[in-house]
Amino acid sequence: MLFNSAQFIFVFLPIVLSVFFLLGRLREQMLAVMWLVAASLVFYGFDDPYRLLPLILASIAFNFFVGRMLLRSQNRILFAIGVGGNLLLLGYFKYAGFLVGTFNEVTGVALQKPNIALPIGISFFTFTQIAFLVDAYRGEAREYEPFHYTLFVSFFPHLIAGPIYHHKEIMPQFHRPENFRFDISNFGFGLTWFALGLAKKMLFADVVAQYSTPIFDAAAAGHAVGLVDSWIGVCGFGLQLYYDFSGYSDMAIGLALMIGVRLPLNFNSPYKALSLVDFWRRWHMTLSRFLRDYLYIPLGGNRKGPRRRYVNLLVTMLLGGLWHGAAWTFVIWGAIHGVGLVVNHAWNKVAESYRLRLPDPAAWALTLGFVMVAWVPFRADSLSAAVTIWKGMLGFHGLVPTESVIAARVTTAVACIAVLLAVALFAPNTQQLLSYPRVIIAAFRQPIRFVPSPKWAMAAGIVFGIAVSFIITQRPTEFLYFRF
Amino acid sequence: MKSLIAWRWYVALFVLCAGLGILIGGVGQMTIDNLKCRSTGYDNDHFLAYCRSDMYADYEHGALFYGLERSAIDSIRRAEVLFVGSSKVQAGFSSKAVRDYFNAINVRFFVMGFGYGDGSTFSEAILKKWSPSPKVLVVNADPFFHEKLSPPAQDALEGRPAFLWRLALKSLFQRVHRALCLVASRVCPESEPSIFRSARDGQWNWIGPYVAEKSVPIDRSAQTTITEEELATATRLGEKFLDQIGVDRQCVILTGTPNSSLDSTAIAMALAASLKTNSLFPPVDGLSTLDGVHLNLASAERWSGQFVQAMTSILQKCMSASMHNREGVAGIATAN
Repeated sequence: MLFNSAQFIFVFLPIVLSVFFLLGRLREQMLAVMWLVAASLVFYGFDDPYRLLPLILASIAFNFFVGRMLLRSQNRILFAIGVGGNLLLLGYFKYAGFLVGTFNEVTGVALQKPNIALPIGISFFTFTQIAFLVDAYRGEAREYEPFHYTLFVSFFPHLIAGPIYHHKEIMPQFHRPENFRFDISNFGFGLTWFALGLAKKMLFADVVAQYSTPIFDAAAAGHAVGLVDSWIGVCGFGLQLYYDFSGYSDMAIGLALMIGVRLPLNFNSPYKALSLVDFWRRWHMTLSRFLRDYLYIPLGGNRKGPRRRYVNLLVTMLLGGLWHGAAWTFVIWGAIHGVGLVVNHAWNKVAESYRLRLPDPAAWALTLGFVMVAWVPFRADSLSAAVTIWKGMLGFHGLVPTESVIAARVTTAVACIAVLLAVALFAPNTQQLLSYPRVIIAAFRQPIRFVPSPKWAMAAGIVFGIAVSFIITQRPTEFLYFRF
Repeated sequence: MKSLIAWRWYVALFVLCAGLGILIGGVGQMTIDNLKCRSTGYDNDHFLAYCRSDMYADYEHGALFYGLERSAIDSIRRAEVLFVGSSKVQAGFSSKAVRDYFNAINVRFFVMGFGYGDGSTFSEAILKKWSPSPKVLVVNADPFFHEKLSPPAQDALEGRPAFLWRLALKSLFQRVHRALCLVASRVCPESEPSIFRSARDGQWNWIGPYVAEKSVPIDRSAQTTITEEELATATRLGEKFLDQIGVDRQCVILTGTPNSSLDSTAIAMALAASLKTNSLFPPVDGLSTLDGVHLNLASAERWSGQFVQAMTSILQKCMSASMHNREGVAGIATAN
């Protein structure tokens, strides 16, 4: 089920919340937890219940029991079995086809490529549970009730595309009695947050996608793409991805807030970053945190000298790229960022030694340009399509191509990209607008602070209504991160 | 406490404004996407039945099924002569000749064909819903009696909320479109082919390049017909349809508008024999179509003019019982 569907907004959510708070009012907390679990499973298995539900339930059961045993005896073999089991599941569903395809290409053998459909959200719930097993093995987790554990993994606001959270920050919230009682301020706050996320998705991401998608499709079909189109395609996609994913994260945060649960933030105006290191502190923050805590630091982090640190960074980013999708384009995207981070850290060291400093506008332009160029393999259907776009960006296919993919709409495309970029760069982000508790906002000097006033209600309500009108009038579109 | 009240007001106002936003957003999108539709066909009698655009496309299936065009529904209910069929019946009988003929004899008629190749299943649903009581029924039976439903017909019969919402928006859009193009014609490029439908008699008014004086002569050599099995199915469905309408079989006329793809005459003739109804095929030579299927305007004028003249005797017979007090009876006699 999609957050941006009429079914979800008008049927699923009102029913789930009503029954949850009714059970909470009756002081049936365990029943309310069970209800949320059931609702989350309905949400997850809605489109393909016979395939998806056994998979997630088996994954939850496996990790719950392995985690419970690890908490009792921190057995290395059991830990290896637990993590290996998760990686095997992910490997089978996500990487089997990629591995066989690569093997065929390298060896010239023609093994049949397995045709396995990727179960939605598998990367997210597998990573969440690997983190739990690691913490259980380290003795940093607690033994949880089966239903609470199931809810922790399957909690519908985060299940399909994150934010990737940590059991320590979520589990206590499922036990807080006040979260089971309807609180109008939590609901109103969550609703506003959800509305802003929905608006990002429907009014920004899906609109700019109309310009970027045909350009990448043309490149995938083997057409030469001109300079103007290439830049429109790349910048358009960069903005589409940002508004799509940060919109999804906002919606997830808003939904959880409606029942008083606070999810971690996932974005913090990444296109305002002044370096690549800064970018990764602002983009998909919960994945960065996961990769740092469960990959980069265990690899040695920066504790074993600069060379090892650079190798660790490269490995982390390569695997991070591969996490996004089973294709060489994602590996290349990860590699580009890995190399970029290495250069960034090396530059920091040089700059520190010689007291050098890039002016902020130059640092910002360099960072944004790098990130945009790197989005090409992330979005392109193949390496050759990515090369076509890169060549186009460098003007190899002419300044103004003879057959522009979006010839009639270049002006509107440029205007749309300019407006969305301006919003991303100069407007406050959701947490700045809504003053998310416990978030320190240093950069934004004149925030438009949210207060439950009639002006805010009218503005947020109308924006929400317009976004919903797009859902009703057109077919809802999937979120980009559902593919990962 | 103050904060609690503020939040209550906030949520209430939010929900209210969300409703307003849905309406503004819906009409706004519909308007932006469909400004290309023709606006010159609107008048107090005509509504925009179809426009070749993504968001508007078909309106008439839903509008007539859900009664959004009240005067059209009244016309269907009051029609004494009802024409049913697909878009071919619309092309064939949307003529001045038909309108003049019935106006002259003061007989109410309605051309109730539907685009997208819809047949008896959808027409039956409409007739069941609005219970008209025509005295004469003209069926473009080539074969018409089939169970296929076009996507717009299916959407209308399923009546999902999203479809109903879009339908309501299309209805609202027409008011906005008409007014906007009147006061600011520059923003209306008038570029997409559109069909306006008369609420009084159901005739189509095609506006746009699709009908620009195209003339494809009818080529009978490529015509196909239906199988025995299809004929049997059509007969079974035809029996059911006619029983439901309740029109005397002697007052049912089966015909087939001339075209290049189907031997409509043979099909309608075979069906008329099975269903024990009248059939009528005015012999007119040199007819042309727009696209091999639909009669063009000039041919429709000639063919439908001949058709209505030829149906006069049936009309007289079928209407005399109920119309003996009306001057229309004399009119029919003089029109013959």
